[in-house]
Formats: sequence, structure tokens, C-alpha cells
Amino acid sequence: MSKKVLIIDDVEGVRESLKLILSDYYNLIITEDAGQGLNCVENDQDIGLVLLDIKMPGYNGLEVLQKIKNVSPELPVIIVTGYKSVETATEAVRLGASGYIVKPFKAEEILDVVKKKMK
Amino acid sequence: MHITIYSILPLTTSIVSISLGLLVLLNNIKAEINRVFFLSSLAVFLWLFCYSICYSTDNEKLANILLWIGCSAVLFISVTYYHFTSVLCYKKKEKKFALSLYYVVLLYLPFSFFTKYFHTGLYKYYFGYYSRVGPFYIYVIIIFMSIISRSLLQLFSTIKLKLLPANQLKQIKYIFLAYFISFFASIDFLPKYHVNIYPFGAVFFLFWSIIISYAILKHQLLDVNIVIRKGLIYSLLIATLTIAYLTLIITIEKLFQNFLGYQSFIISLVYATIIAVFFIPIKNKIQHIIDKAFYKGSTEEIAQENLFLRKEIADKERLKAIATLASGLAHEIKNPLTAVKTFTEYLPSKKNDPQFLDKFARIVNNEVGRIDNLVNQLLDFAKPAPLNLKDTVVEYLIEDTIAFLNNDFIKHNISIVKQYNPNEQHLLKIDQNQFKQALLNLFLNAIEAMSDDGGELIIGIAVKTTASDILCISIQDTGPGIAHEDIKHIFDPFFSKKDTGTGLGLAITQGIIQEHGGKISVETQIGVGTKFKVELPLYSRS
Repeated sequence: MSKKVLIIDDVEGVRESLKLILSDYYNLIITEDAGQGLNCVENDQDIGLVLLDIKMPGYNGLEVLQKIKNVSPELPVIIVTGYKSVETATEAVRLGASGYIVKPFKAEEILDVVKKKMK
Repeated sequence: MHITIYSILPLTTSIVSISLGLLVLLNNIKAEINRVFFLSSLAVFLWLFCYSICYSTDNEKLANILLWIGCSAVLFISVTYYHFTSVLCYKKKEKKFALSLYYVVLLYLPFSFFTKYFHTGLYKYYFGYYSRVGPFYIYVIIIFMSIISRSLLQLFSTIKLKLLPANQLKQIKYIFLAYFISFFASIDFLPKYHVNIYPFGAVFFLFWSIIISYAILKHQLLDVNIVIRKGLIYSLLIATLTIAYLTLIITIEKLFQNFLGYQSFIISLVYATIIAVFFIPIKNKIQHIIDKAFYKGSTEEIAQENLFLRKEIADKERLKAIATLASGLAHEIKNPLTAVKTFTEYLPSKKNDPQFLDKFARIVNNEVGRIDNLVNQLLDFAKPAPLNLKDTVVEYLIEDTIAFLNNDFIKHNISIVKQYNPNEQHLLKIDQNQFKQALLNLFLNAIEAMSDDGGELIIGIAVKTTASDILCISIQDTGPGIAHEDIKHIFDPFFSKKDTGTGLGLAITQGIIQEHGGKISVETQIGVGTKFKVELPLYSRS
């Protein structure tokens, strides 16, 4: 059995979308709460990838990324965001993000990225 | 009848006064204050105009009637003064009293006309006919003096206690000065008791007009502030100079008659021409000085420039707010877009999966609703309706808002603690609908904070006196408080800790308060609660 994908997003529509795209191919853990997401990362060794929503710069998405990286430096984290800015992208990569997907995304796009990282 | 030198002063002053009154009235005919001011200037006009004719006429019958009209107008002046200052200082009770005084004056009119208690006839002085008064007239003078003193006192206490914002206080200071000086026109009562002096009280009303004109030009008194007409100041100037000119001519004519003992049309013409030749450059010079003192360019240019500047500042602020909003909006709108896009993408392949269709209907509908909601709030925020300012008792508005949310308070087990006296009345000049929305957002925020365990919503009203009076409204909840790192973002558009919120509520509230010239601040303590403080300039209290 392949590893699980952890989805952290506070918007139900986005969570449901990712579930729709990925649930046929991967085991998913879905949460709206960043703290709960962090718990999973700490306790569940089977997680192979995190899809993390970040809001506007300066808010807490990037902090969550940092915390995940502290707990599990090797775990790939892909940022999913509606906020397309060079600064945020650079900052995310600097903090160790493996990828950057801008909303609204195509199903293919998500599948591609996840497939690559889950190998 | 020919105009004598004694008529010139009251005649000119009466015309200046009525011109000023008409200008103010026509500038904003809907404003109560402007209408009352017009009444005042009309009364001044009636008084001085009637008397000025009596100084020039030989017709005793005509003089008798005109003197009665003029004399009655004097009492009318005092009542309009009182009415004017009550409106100006927002004294509602005193305004009512002032209105009832009009009836007293109307009652007085037939009494004074048909009986000999107030008016007994006329005196013939060197300057012309003048009123002769009866035994009860002294009471009229006492009432007149009391009413004017009361008006002055009203202005004085408003200035002293700083009951109005600074710019209005500045205007009131000028009004006080103008009305105080005009009080000296009481000198005109003396000839009514057979004291043989020329009633030069009109001089003080000339000063009254000049000071009020100055306040209109410099301090936007009486809302005459859009494009200030140069004509106002020029007509005053020409009126003043004309008095000087006519006085000179008539005096010189008298001198020639008395000392040289002859009267010649040619000589009159010569000196009138000489004076006129000097008169024009003097007029130009003074006009030039006034131009320099009041306006750097022409009036229209300045007014236009001010208008542009104000618009530009407003536009810049708005653009800045919209830029912040737009970036937030992009993020906020992309979440629902993502859901709609993904679900429609899967629709063709999953159209026979009832579970999918259920979810599709629910999610897509929700997300479209979210976008709709966002756009509506954005419109509210980006294009605030112009403020429709009205005198509003803030206590009533708060009670209204509480009543509106009563069910929510009960549902969430929240009790209201009023740290103010609901019977007191603090008057604010605000847009009732927008301000209510601002209050509503704050209340909803408090309800949200206490929705789990209930608590107390503590509402306070206090007046803070610094340079001017500030009304502080505090809205305090006993919720969990706001985390230190979040507190600096709570007024940012799209900052929200709630799943359901758009994060615009407090941003809109802040926008509304600032639009009203006020400010909003927040104090919070984890585990104790959060307190929002709204501060606004106070207009009046009772």
C-alpha cells in the first residue's frame, strides 16, 4: 500500500475538490485544522506528501510549513494557494516547499504533481 | 422727499444686511440655520429701512406708520437672534422657546398699534422723525435686552464648554463677536425717550455684516462654502465706500451753503467729479488688498483647486484600500472557484453517480453563494455610499441595535450590561444606517466570540473632554480574547479566524467610523475578553 496524502485546507470546497481528484488513487487524510495536520505529521509515519493551503503572506500558512519541516524535514510539502506572488513562492521554496500550485487548479495538474512526489 | 445725509447710514446698512441674508438663504434654502439667518437680516433691514425713510421724509403720517414697523422689527430682531443661536448651538429646548416667542411678538403688534402704552407718536429731531414711546415700552426694552443676552450667553457657554467641534467653535466665535458688537446698537433706544442724539446704531450692524461675511469667507460659516462669490465682499466694500462718498458730497454741499452762502450746480458737479476721480483708484486699491488677503488666485480658482484636492485625496485613499482588498479578494475568490472548477470538470464522467451529484449540488451552490456574498461586501466596502448625516441620539441607536439582535443574545446565553444611562441623550451627527451597520458588526463579533459558553456584552458610553468633546462608545465581550499575533490584523480586510466569515466585518466598521471622523481601537486579554472602543466627535448632550 502506498503512502498517504495529507490535505490541510480550511475551505470545504477545496478539500472536497482534492478528495474528488485524488481519492481514487491515494489514501487521504483530510483536515481543516493546521494543528491537527501537524499532529498527523508527527504521529503518522505513513504520510508521504502534504498539500498545504496558505493564505495571504504574513499569515500563518508559511508558519505551518516551517513547523512541518521541523518535525519531518524529508516530507515533501506542496503549497496550494490562491495568492500568486513571487515573494510568497520564493519564501515557500526557501522554507522547504517542494512545489507550488495556484488555485483554481486543474485535476491533471494535481495528479501530476502528486504522482511525481509520491514515487 | 430727497435723501438727507442722516438716511445714508441706515439705508446702506439695511441694504447690506438684506443682501447678506439673501445670499445666505439662496446658497442653501433647505438648511434651517440659513433660513433663520435670513429672518434676522430681514428684521434688520425692516428696522433700518423704515427709519432711514423717516429721516428724509416730511410726511408725518407716513413717518408714523414706518416708525411703528421699524420699532416692531427691533423686537423681532431679538427673537430671530435667539432662534438663530439655539439652532447654531443645537439647543433643542431653547429653540422651542424661541419659536414660542414669535407668537408673543405677533400678539404685541396689535397692542402697540392700537394703544398708546407702547407707541405714542413721534418726535421731530434735527435728523428727522423718530419714535416717541409710552410708559410700557420700557418692558419691551427689558425683554429685548434679556433675549439678546440669553443668545449671547448661549454662544458664550458653547465656546467656553467646547460643546462643538473645533471648526464650528471658530465660526461661533465670530458670530459671538458680531452679535456682541451689534448689541451696542441699543444706543438707538435713547432718542425714543427724547434724548437728542443721532441714532447711529446702524454702524454696529454694518460691523455685524462685515464680521459675518468674513466668517463666511474664511470659515465656511452657514455652509456658504462651494464657490464663494467674490461679489459678496465687493458689494460690502462698495456699500461702505458709497457711504463715505455720499457723506462727503452732502457734507461739502452743506459747507458751501453755510459758509459761502450760495448753491451752484456747477460747483457741486466739480467737487463730485473730483471725489469720484479719487474714489475709483481707492476702490481698486482696496479691492486689490482684499484679493491678496482672502485669495491667492481668484475665488473660483481656489474653490476649484480645493475641490480637486479633496477628490484626489479621497481617490488615493480609496485606491489604496481597493489594492489591499483586491489581493485579498483574489485569494478569497479562488477557493470557491477551485471547487466549482473541479466539480464541473468531473461532472461528465460522474453524472451517473448520485453521491457525486448530491455533493456537486451542495458544494457548487455553497461556493457560488460565497462569491456572491464577497462581491456584495466588496461593493459596500469599495464604494461607500455618501454619508447622510443626521443629528442622532446615540443611546437610541444602540438600543435599536440591541433590540435587533435580541434573539441572538438569548440563543447564545449572552446578557447585556449597560454601563450608561439610557435616559441620557448624546447627540452625534452621523449616517444612521451606516453607523448602525458598524455597531451591528461589533455586536456580531462579540456574539461570535461568546457563542460557545455565553457571557456578558458590556456597553458603555462616556464623554472625554480634550480639545473638543469626544464620545467614547465601548463594546466589551467576555469571550476568549484575541491572540497577540492576530490583534494587529483584525481590521485588515479578509482577515478572519472563522470558517464562515469573510473577514470584512471589522474592516467595514473601521471604514465607517473613519468616514465619520472617528477612530476605533481594540484591547484584548486572553481568557478575559475583548473591548472595542469607538471615539467620535460629540455634538451636544442633554
